[in-house]
Formats: sequence, C-alpha cells, structure tokens
Amino acid sequence: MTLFKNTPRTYILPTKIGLFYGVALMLMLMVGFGYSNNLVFFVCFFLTSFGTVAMVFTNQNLQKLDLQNFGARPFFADERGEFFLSVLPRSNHDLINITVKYETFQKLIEKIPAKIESTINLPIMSSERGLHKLPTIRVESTYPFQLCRSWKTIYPLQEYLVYPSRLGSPHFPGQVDGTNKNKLTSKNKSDEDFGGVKIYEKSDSPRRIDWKSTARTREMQVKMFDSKEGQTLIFTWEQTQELASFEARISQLALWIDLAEKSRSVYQLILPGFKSELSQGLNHWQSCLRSLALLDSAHVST
Amino acid sequence: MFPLSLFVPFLLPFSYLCLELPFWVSFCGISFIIWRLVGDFFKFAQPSKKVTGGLSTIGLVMVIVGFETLVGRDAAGSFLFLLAGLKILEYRAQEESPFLILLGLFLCCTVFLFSLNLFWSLGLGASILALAYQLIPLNVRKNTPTTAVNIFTKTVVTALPLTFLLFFFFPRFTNHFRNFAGSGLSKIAQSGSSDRLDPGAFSEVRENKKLVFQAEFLLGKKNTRDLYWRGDVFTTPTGFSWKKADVSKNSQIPLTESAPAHHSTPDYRILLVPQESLEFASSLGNQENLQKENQARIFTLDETDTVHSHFSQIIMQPDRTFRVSPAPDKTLEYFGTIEYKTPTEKSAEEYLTLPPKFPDRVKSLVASWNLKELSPEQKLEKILYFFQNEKFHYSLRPGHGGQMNLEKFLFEIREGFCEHYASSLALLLRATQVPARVVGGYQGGTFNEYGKFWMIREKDAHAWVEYINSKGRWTRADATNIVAPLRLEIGAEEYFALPAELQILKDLSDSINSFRQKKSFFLIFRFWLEGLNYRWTSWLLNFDLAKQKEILKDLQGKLPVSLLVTFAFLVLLSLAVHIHQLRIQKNESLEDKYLNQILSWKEFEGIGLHRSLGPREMLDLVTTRPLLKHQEVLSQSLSQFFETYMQIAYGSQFELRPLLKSQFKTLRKLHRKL
Repeated sequence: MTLFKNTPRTYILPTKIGLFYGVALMLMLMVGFGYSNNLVFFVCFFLTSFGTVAMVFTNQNLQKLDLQNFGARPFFADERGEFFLSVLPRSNHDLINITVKYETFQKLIEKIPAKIESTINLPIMSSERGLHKLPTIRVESTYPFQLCRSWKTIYPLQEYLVYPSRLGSPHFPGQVDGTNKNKLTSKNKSDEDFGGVKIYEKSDSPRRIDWKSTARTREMQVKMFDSKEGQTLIFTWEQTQELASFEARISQLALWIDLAEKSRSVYQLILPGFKSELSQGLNHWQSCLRSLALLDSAHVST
Repeated sequence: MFPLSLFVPFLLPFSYLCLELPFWVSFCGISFIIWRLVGDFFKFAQPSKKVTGGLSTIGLVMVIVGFETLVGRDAAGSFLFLLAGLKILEYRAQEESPFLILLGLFLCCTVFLFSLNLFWSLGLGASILALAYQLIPLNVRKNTPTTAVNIFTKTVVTALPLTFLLFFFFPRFTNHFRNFAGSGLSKIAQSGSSDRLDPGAFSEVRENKKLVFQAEFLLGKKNTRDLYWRGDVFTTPTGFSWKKADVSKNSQIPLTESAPAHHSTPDYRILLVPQESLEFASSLGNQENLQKENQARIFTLDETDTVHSHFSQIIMQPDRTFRVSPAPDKTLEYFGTIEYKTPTEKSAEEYLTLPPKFPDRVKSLVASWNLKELSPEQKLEKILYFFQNEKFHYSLRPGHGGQMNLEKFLFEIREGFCEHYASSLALLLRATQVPARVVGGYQGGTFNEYGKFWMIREKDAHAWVEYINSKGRWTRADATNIVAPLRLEIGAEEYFALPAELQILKDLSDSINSFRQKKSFFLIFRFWLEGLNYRWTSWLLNFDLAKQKEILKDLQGKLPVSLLVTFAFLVLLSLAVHIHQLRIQKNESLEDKYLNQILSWKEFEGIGLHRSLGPREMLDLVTTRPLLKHQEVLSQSLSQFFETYMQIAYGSQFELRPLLKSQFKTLRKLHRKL
C-alpha cells in the first residue's frame, strides 16, 4: 500500500568532507603531474577509486530500503506522541547508520536488519488538537565513509489525530462528597486490586506514582488498581459552561472521558451534533475523544 | 583523549619527514605532538582553537619567510607538517577526524616526493589504508568491527581494478612545475661538489657505506676493474693539493634530448641519490660555485660521449665531466652512451703547470730518469716502475694531508691512499712534460646479483690521473694498479673487508677467493632487498608517457586477444554471480519460494500484490479488494495460502508445509485458468 505522494527516489551528493576529499585529490593530481611522481599518482588514483566505490555503497545503503508505512497513533495535545515508520530492506545485508529526520528532530538507527520489516518510532508533540498532516520525512545515510550523503524524502498523504489536552478538574461534574450519583465510588483499597504499574499520563493522580519503580526505570510510573466496578457517567457540553474558553471546555471533557475510562465507568458524551452511546472500552473512548478533537466552534452555540 | 587508532598512522610520515625537513619545522611539529600527549596523560587543558589558529598563522609566515615561497615540496611539506601537528593538538571530538585524516593522506604523499623506496612505500601504504579506515563512523568500528572491516575490505578490493586502470592509462604529461618553485629548491638541493682536492680527504670517507648511485649496464656486463666513474677534474696543483679550473658558463655545452641517435641505445643507466647527503662531497670544501648555478655533478664512465635525462638538463663541461640542472632533490635517472671523441681543449699548456716551489729533489729525481726522448707511455711506465721498485705501500691511514707534501711522500713516507698516488703521479708526469690532470670520482662498486646492477657507495671514492698519450688522447693512468691492484680488482667494499695480510697481495689467490665466498645470510638478504628496491624504484621512475604509449601499442597489436580475454573474463564473472544467486535462492525456504512464485504471476499484479507488502497486508488485500469478491474461490485460496504461510514463517509450524504445497498447487491451477 503506497501511502506516499511519490515513490521515494534516492538522491546523492557529496558531504562537506567529500568536497574537501575531492579538492585534496585534485591537488594530489597536480602534485603528481608537477613532480612526475608515480607513487603520488597511484595514491591519487586509488583514493579516487575508493571515493567512487564508497559513493556506490552509500547509495546502495539507502536504495534498497523500502518505506512501507508511515503514520502516528492518536495522542493528546501537549503530551508526547509517536510517529511510526515501517521499513523493509530488500538487500541481503543489514543497513547501517540510517538517519531519519523531520522538522528539527533526527534519529540515528544503527542497524536495520536485512529482509525484516522494522518499525522506527519517532517522537512528536503538538499543542493543537485536531487532524494534522504528517510531516515530510527525510531518510538519509552517509555510511560507510561519510564522503557522500544519500537520501530519500517522503511526502506522506495521511493525517494524524491529536486529542485535546487533558486539563481541568479531576472531579466529575456534580461531584459532592457521598451523595451524587456521579460521584466516584469509594477508593478504599479493599475495593481495588493492584493491577501492576504503567507509565504516567497527565490524567493520573500523583498520589499513585510508584517511586520505587520510577527510580529503577527512570521513567515516571504509576500503580494501577483494578476497580471492581465503576459508575455510570454522562458528560455534556453544558456541564463545562463555567469555563471561559472553548478549548478549556473541550480539555475538561477530554479529561473526564479519560478518567472515566480509567475508572472503568460506563459513560456517555453529549456534544452539539454528537451523542455517543452509554458504554465503555477502548473504541468508545477513542470515539469520544475523536469527536472532541474534531469539534468545531462554529458548530457549537454558546 | 586523542585516539590511538588515529595517531598510529601518522607515526610513519612524521618520522620520515622529521629527517628531511629543516630542523625547526621538525622540532615544532614534534613539540606540538608531545604537548598533546603530555596534556592527555596529565589531563591538562589543551590550548583553544584561537591559540592553535594563531600558531598556524605564525607557522605559515615562518615557512614563507624561510623558504621564500609556499609552493614546492619542502615549503608545502613543512607547512603541512606543522598544520598536522597543530591539528592533533587541537583535536577535541570525533567530528574533527575527517579533516585530520585528509591531512594525514597528504603527508603520506609528501613523503613520496622525497623517496621512492619500496619499504617506505609499503609502510606508508599501510598508513594510508589505516587512515581511510578511520573514515568509517566510530559507532560502527566500535560496536560492529566485523562489519566495518568487511565493508572496508570490499571497498578496497573493488577500488583496485579502477586504480590500476587509471595508473596504467591515465596520460602522464611531464611538467616542469618544479621550476616555478623558485629559489626554494636551490637552497635545499646542494650540489655537493667542490673546487679542491686535498690528499687525505678520500680516506676519510672509506668507512662510509652510504649509497651514492646505482648503475645498470644495458649492453653487456663490465668488470670491476673497468669501472671508473668520473666526477670532477682537477687541473691546478697547489703543492700536493689540486684545484679545478674556473669554467665559465659560456664554455659549458647544454645537452638536449634531441641530441640523438646515440640515445637510442644508451650503454648504461644510473640512479643518483641527491648529493646533498654525500659526505664525500661535503668533505671536499666549499660548494658555492655550483650552488649559484643550481647545478649538480653527476658521474659518468670513461669516454662517455653523451648523457641524457628525461626530466633534467645535462650540461657538458669542456673537461668532459657533466652537470645536471636543476640540481636534483630526489633520485635522478640518467643514461650514458660511450663513444670517444677528440678533446675539445685548445691548448695543453694548462696541464703542464707545476706548483710554485716545486721541490728540487723531485726535479733531480725526474732529471735522473732521462725521459726526454721517450713517449708519454714510456714515461708513465718509468714512473710507475719507480712506485713499484721503491716499495710504495697503499695505506688506509696515510696521515693528515697538511703534514704530507710531495717530497715527503716520494722520499720518506712512501705510503698513502689513492689521492696521494694520483697527485704525485700527475705532478711527476707534468714534470716530464706530459700533460696530466687528476680526476676525482668513484671506482668499482658492488654488483648485486639479484637486481643485476652495481651499487657505488661512498667508500668507493677514488682518484686517478688522466694524461695525453702519444696519439693526443686523454688516457687513464692509475698508480693504485701498481701498489694495490686488488683494490681495483674486487672493489672497495670487499677489499676493505679483507684481513690486512690479504690486502697486500697483488692478485686473487685461493685464500682471497675463499674469503670472498663467505657471505653471511644477512649480506645475501640485504642484497636481495636492495635488488627488489632497485627494481621498484627503476620501474617507478621509468613509467612515463612513453611507456604508456608503448603499452597501448602492444595492446593494439594484441587487441583481438585482449578483447577475447576481456570477454571471457566477463562471461566467467557473470557466471560466478549467477551461481552465487542460485546458491542464495537455494537457501530460500519452501514457503518463500511458493510466495515468490505467486507474486511473480502478472495476473496478481492488478490485485496489488507486491513484494513490498507483508503477508498480513496481502491477506487483508485479498479479502477486501472488490475484484476478488467476484472470484471467491481465488480469494479464498489466496487467503488460506497466506494464513498457512504466516503460520509456517512466523509460527515455525513447519509441519504445515505439505498443506502449503497443496494450496500452492490449487492456486497454480486457478492461475492457469485466468
């Protein structure tokens, strides 16, 4: 499945070192002529041939790299997301020192095994929700002798989705101590079974940070607890009317949806022009967040 | 820390250039490197780039001031040397390696401008390869050294054929670029000649084994006894010493390559070492005259008529000695042709002049011989008989020349080295009215059986006499032939190696022969190495445009054969590649073989099946494509095939291979129906 504008061609040009190398060879040739020195000629010719062969190998290192797929899983605004680039080397040997670049970021992949489809993950962040076009990606290599740089440029056709940032009050709408049906069930530990740890997300409670495993893995980790049962929650656009800005309201709803899913509650989202089912689960969660991500202010009457 | 792997390849060019470049350049360059090493060891902060930049500017200015140019081997080499040292000093990160590597490559080339020696060439070749290897990124060299070595070897091997093709067929246009180097060259390439001969000077170099030149006879072999290599002619006696005549530039005769028919088959070829380093030359006094003219003395056999060189101008002196211009700063190759021509001197009066205060005792001796009516040959014979009869000895330690004069030598001391006998013989001949002069140069040499060439060293330095015989020809006369004929017979190296009791013998005896035959393994090995090096240097010097034209001419004649050979080679190569591909395919698994065959069926291209897709994607494709919805059997068969394939390839369920085979057969039947 071709997901790019054009089949990427491989281009090649000398690097800065390659240019100096070329100049040095010209000087050597002149010296050889000037002094009629056959050894200088031999070295010059050898280095010329060496550079030529190196150029071929640099081209080959990228030429046989097929770019299979490029996309990004949806992620929340102001949080770290990831692109994935699937590649498949058609060559019989591993590809070495491939650099993937886009915008200001670059990543060096030291080895891509031959004939095995590999996925390269690239970080991304966005402060705006909604659909965004995937950036132009450049895959390049200077291996083996850094005299030339070969590259392929990918102009992807797809877009990626950024959910609204998870900001706002962690308390569900209408939540008061003990009485409201929207109130979360008790968080007594006896009601919850420890379900392991996971990487911290913005909506997680700081009280659940597992410092021991964080120190061990050097990545913020939170404890997960499997609640025996959640609640039934309904989130509406009107519930956020106290919030000043449009984006703040969307972010609040996003946070609630996320927390509801984490607490294994059954929830429903009602927006102008959208009404989800009363459900739970990944698909439902994604559907709600997607609708929030794509919510246009023009469709919403204040 | 400066990486050792980058430092080691620099050692060889640095160590060679240290010896060739001016002392201050070597000192500064080595100091920078020591500074770096000490700093790394004691963890001192290294100087900033501003400091090293300033030092390189100072170095550049000093080179320009010292050499008066930046163009030329020595000036440019000095600057490169300093620059490399500074670059090593300021090295901070891996990213700076490539520039340093380029500098190193240039340094290695600079060494080749000084020397074509085979062994240095091999060592520097290894340095060049080591430097090129450093271009591979550090992470590859460190983490996967096998990969790095493999790719490097592959690149070098693949580059060699093109290298040789370029080397043999890229046209060599000669260029006198060096002449534009200006006075920079003349300061370094000193001529090494002198205008004075002092008895005793030659004996000072008798221990010196330094190579002066190598000679190869192109037409027949010569005996040691016949090899007299003329260098300088001394015509004016001052007591026991001799001076050269002033030769005006106008009397010099430049020889050009067009002088000709003689050049078609020269008699011998000589490879001359740059004379700056010759002790013999430097021991003989000042060198101003030739330095001013930027000429250097070259050595030729007796009765050489013509000398020519491909890259330098040869100048003939009136006394039939030769000079080369410009003075060479590296090994010089020239060819000599022997053919006697009548002397060009208009008057022989200058060759009869005796020194002031010529001893009366010597005059009386000459008068007592009654030689007036005799021919020059007879007079010579009489004088030589005198040396023989009065038991003169050939001595390796004749004493300082200042204590010796003609009278003392002839009547009291009666022992001396070749220059004493040459000086006294020439004076005695002049006293008998025979025009005579002293010639300084080399005699004999050591024959290298492996390379079939003669090696003439400093210890072969010799002096003899030339006189005008009854036919008016300049003829050689050597008194050493009377007092130490063995020296002329076997050459200086072997003669001086003999025990003292054997040296006094007049001819080769069994005891001498058996002594000579005892050659140590080291000596044999040394000869073999020298022979190899000679062949290598000769070939490098000889390979020029003329040689290339010769090769092309040969190839033209053999074109059909060479084409056939090339064609056969290409066929074999493609066969080898094909066999290699087949071997790769044999390693292909059964499931991959079936999959590849399916993908090669053109009918399925329309579906969108392509090798770039994974099997899961292909499965999705065949189950969702509208086209296949109307061909449900085909769609079902393909789906089953892909599912089984994935189970085998990714689930290692190899027992499903027979099932895959049958599914493939089904697909093939369906494909044939399409």
